[in-house]
Amino acid sequence: MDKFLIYTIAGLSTAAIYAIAASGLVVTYTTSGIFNFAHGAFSMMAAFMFWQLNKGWGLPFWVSVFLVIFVVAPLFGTVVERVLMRGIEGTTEVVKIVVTISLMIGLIALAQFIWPPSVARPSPAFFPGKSVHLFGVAVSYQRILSMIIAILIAVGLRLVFKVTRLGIAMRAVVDDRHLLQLNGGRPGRTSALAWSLGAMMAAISGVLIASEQSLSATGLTLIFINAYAVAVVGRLKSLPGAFLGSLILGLAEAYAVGYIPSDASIGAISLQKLPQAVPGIMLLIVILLQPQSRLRAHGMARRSIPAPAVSQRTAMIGGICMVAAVAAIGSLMAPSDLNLMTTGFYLTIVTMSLVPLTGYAGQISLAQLSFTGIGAVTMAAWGANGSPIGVFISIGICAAVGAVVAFPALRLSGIYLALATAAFAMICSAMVFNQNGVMPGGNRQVPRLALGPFKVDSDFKQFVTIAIVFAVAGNILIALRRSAWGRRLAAMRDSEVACATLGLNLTSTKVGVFALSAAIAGLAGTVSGGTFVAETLTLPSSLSVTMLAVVGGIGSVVGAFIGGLLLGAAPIGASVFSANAVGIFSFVSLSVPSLISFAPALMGLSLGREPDGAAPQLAVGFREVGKSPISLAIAAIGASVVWLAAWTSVIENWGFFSAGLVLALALVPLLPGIFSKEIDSSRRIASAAWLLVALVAAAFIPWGTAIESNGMRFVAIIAFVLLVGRVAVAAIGYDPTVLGEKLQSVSPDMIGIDEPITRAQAIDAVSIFGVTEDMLPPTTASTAWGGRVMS
Amino acid sequence: MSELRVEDLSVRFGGHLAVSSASLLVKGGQITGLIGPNGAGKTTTFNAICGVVSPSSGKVLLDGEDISRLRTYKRSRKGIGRTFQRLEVFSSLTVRENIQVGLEIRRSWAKGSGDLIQYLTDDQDLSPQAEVDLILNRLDLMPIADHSVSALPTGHARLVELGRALAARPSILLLDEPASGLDDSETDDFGDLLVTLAANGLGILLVEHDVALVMRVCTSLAVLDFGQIIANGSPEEVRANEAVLSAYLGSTPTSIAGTSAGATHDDVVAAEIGSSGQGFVS
Amino acid sequence: MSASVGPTSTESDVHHAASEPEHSDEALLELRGIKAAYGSIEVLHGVDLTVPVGKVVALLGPNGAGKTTTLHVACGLMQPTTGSVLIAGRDVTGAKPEDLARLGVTTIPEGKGVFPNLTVRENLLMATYAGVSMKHVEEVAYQQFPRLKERRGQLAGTLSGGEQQMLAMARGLAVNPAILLLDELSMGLAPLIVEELYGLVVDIARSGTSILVVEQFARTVLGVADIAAIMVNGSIRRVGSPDDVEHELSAAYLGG
Repeated sequence: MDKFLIYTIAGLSTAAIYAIAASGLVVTYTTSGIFNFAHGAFSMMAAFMFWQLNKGWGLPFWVSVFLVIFVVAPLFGTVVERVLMRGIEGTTEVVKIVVTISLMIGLIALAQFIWPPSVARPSPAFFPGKSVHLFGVAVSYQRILSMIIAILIAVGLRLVFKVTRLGIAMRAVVDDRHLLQLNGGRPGRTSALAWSLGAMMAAISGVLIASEQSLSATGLTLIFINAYAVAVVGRLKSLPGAFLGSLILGLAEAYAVGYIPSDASIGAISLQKLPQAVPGIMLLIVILLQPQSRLRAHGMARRSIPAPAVSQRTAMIGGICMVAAVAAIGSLMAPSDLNLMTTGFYLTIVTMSLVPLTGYAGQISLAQLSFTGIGAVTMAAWGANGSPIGVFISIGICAAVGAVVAFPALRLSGIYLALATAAFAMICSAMVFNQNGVMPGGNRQVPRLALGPFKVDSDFKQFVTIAIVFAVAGNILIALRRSAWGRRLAAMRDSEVACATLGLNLTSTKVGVFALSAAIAGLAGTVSGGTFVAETLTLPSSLSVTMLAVVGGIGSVVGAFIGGLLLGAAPIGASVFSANAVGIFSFVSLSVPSLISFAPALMGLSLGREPDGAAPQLAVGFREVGKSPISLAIAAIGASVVWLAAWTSVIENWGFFSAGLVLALALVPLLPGIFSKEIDSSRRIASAAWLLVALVAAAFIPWGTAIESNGMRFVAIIAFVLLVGRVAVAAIGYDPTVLGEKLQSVSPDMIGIDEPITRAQAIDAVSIFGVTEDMLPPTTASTAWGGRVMS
Repeated sequence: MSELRVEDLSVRFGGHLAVSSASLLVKGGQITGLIGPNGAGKTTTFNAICGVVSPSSGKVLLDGEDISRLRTYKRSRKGIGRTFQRLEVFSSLTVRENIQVGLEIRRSWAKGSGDLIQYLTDDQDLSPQAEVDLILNRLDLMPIADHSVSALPTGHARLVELGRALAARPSILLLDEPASGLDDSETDDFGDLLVTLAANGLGILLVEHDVALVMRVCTSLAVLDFGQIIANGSPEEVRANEAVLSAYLGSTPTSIAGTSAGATHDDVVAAEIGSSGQGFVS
Repeated sequence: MSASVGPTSTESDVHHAASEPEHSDEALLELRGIKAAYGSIEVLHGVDLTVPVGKVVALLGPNGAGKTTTLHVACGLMQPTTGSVLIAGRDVTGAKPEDLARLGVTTIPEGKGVFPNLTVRENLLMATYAGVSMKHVEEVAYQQFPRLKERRGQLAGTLSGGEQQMLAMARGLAVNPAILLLDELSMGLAPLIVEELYGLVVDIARSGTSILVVEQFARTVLGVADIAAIMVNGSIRRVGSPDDVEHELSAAYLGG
């Protein structure tokens, strides 16, 4: 009985903290429509801030509490709302999710940078050592305080939202921002206050938990991610629902810890880690119990004109070029560098797995690395000799698991699918990868492929193999995009309700694309040929995958490749630059690895401005090249010559690298211009001559000996390439990367005039109001036909 | 020929009764008009027929079979097609692809589809390509077949929706303001097309503000006001119905103004019914 | 008229202007040479419009003519590219809509003048941002529309279209505006209700408030307007007495 009481009280006090955190989440979601994935990171930052003020700077305990909760947190919430969230209103669900995920990852990186994890930070407790005996169980004052605060917040928030004008205005902003303005309310201020309130809730929960947990940026953030499961009980909008969910989760976790013997197991899976999986399991169950969301007619979405689907011919040439380039680069690399590159390269296939799901179908997944991990462990189990049969078994299993995971959530809208996959990632992490039976000692080696006599037995072969797999899978995806199924996915993303009225079963279509996506992610694991560590297959790692895939430009295979490279580049960059630091007049010195750890998150945050990702922008510069055979030929010849020069040691490897960059980024995009008859010939010659000189210079500058450190060498080369490109653009007089903007035409439908004046209306106006023909609008429907559409 | 029967349909949103005990009959081979002021419940009726909202009571029967409990896509597979008042075109696809998707989705569930009606041709063994071309030609969309629909004027986007719905070969087609955004001659052609489609066996339920068009093509009319059917009958009967005149067509608020339009009620109404474009409630 | 004082006193200034008979020929709202654009497409090509103190001005014209855009410029939701907006002689071009609302410019937008997920009472509370007490707002609203009192705890989104429009109008009545901007009051409503609502418009006008009404279907509003302006293709084509305009309209309908 004592045991039961002990765990009940422990559960209730955890529940109190979840309830406080979840109420903050509900506040921001109901007042902005944005599900703040970074909410847990807010709590974590508050916990660290609290430590910093109290222990770091020695401020009195209660002063620190006050400052964190009532000064720092509201300020932080306001800044986040002003700088980030206001910009993503009205964007797609995917962008909203990715921006808040980026914020979370950025905050974790920031915390790890400011408070390096190597130092232990014991946090001060509330009323240390004081406790009261309830039914014979000692309960600390702090736990009682948590519960009291939770109840006060429950009552307080209800009052704020039901009675105060400000609270009601916070709800009104979501309904109709403009109408609130017309009433005289100030929506900007109201939203900022709502985010401040949310950040305060996060801070309270963070400060309360700080003394009970060791301070760890990732660890604390993950604890508060559990609050997401709790919020779903109230469909993310109801405070009583969130409190009920907190009770269920807090108690379930406590009883799981208390009553499941540590040696219990189901088959090979030990139940020791079950408590860690409880939030994920609860989240999945709650989502399963939600009623199906209704179809909604939204009217035509205002989206930018999509880039046309790539032709299969271009895709094949692209694939061949990519494999050739990878082989060329790989052949020149030192064995240690090659090994490093190989370990991150499979991530391009992981990001590519999101192309059909997110890019084509507009759905989201936050568990791609879990599928990769499942692919890896199944390959290790059944494809021990690297046999291709193991590959097929693995991707089959991944597809099946993906379908099962997606099924409950696909009946609901975007945010629930995101949460369901996050839950799956949490469960996988605890119940699959962190199991000794699956990953002994926390890691597992995936065998490299062997196709009969051909064996992947070197890093170089592995490097090229991944490139080939990427190229083949990428070509299949592009073929799919052009197939009936691909059109159907695009159609479904544009209008679900229209698809349903044509007889399309939305659920099975979505399950199908989710299974495909899971299979590709699993494929990445099976062919990775590396060692997987359980610690890298957690939810935060999967979050980075989704974030960078979207940053690269998820609508295209090329975008996924860019995203994968960014993802793989961060750890590689960190090790290459490990000795470097960037100093600003010696006041501040930042280590380059920590700068790199911020970079992905910053790119994710920039999505608010560029929701299509990087690839479409890059594509603009290269689009004309694909149409010009002579440009393509020269690009290929140039690349071959540079590679041969390096291969035969005429130039050193750094020369190859810099010349390759000059070729790819400065010369190739300008080739169509250099051969265009429409541009003044003296300009063309000047630009071409400059590029040629720069190319030769890049190849022969002794980068390797002239500059000491790798890091500075990179910086110097990139600066050189940028300079070359700028001068060449100035010489020829046009910039290929800005040409694309002029091509976009604006339709009245896209700028808010839903119904252009028709001829009929205009003629009516003539008869009714006695106006003359010359007063008629210049663009009626029929002239728009000829003028805008046909042009 | 198919027959869609709506019996005592009510749709409630919270405390608001959007459609109240409405009954309708749409017969194959005929065009039935559904008219009424904005907000009268026309689009809600459409949504209830094709399963986008669930009715609080009442039934939707297709050829005698109760389809009120089926999900939207299943109703569509039984033969109900529709277009939308607020455009729901596939804006990232071209005009041709929009129609192709309609066809491809149909082919994915209806192998052969011998029992479905062909409206535009007698040829039963049309290749998918030829069928898309046929629809594009018939709707005069061929010249813009390869343009992205996101840049189309509203009127043409509506035709794309119609073409897409036709590609799924419904037996009953619900059209929600299909002619708004078309010019006069396009509207004339459009009316002819509707008549041809009906003559070939399609049952059409038409919501439209262009009263001239409605009067010209419809065999029967139902008038919806405050969610209730207040009149039913041939266009002539409806035109003469006093309840319709006062409730739907409205009048000058003469009691306030103290001045009249200088014409009797009926004159104004007759003139309005006769005029096209410039609808009284659009 | 003082231009540098806080919201409370400027508000009373505006009300003062509205109630003083000697200012009756003065324009309460004046748009001068307004041009406005969505992106690069100009939709208003130099609109001049004056709403004199205590008068009802009807802005008429076909769908897409720019009536609603004109209204949005007047209430501050949209900024003109050139031209100026004057309220009681003061240049308020570029002012935020919430500031104008607090100055006594009350706008009831087209078809959605209520917050659907707020209760009736909570909707009314939002009206108090314009500087009136909740007690006053409730008194006026419930007295004018007893039905709203019965439904004060109900979500506005579940009200019928007519009741929603009443709720929106209740705000217009209660905040005692200097100028009331109404967009398509009749949209989606039965003629009887429209008649009732326009009856209220007349009452409000009699109390000294200036009113600008945008209507697509001219007939519903001509009877209550003092001045009618016809807008076609982003410009005002004609301003005149309702009788003149109505005569033309009738002729056009009956003759066409």
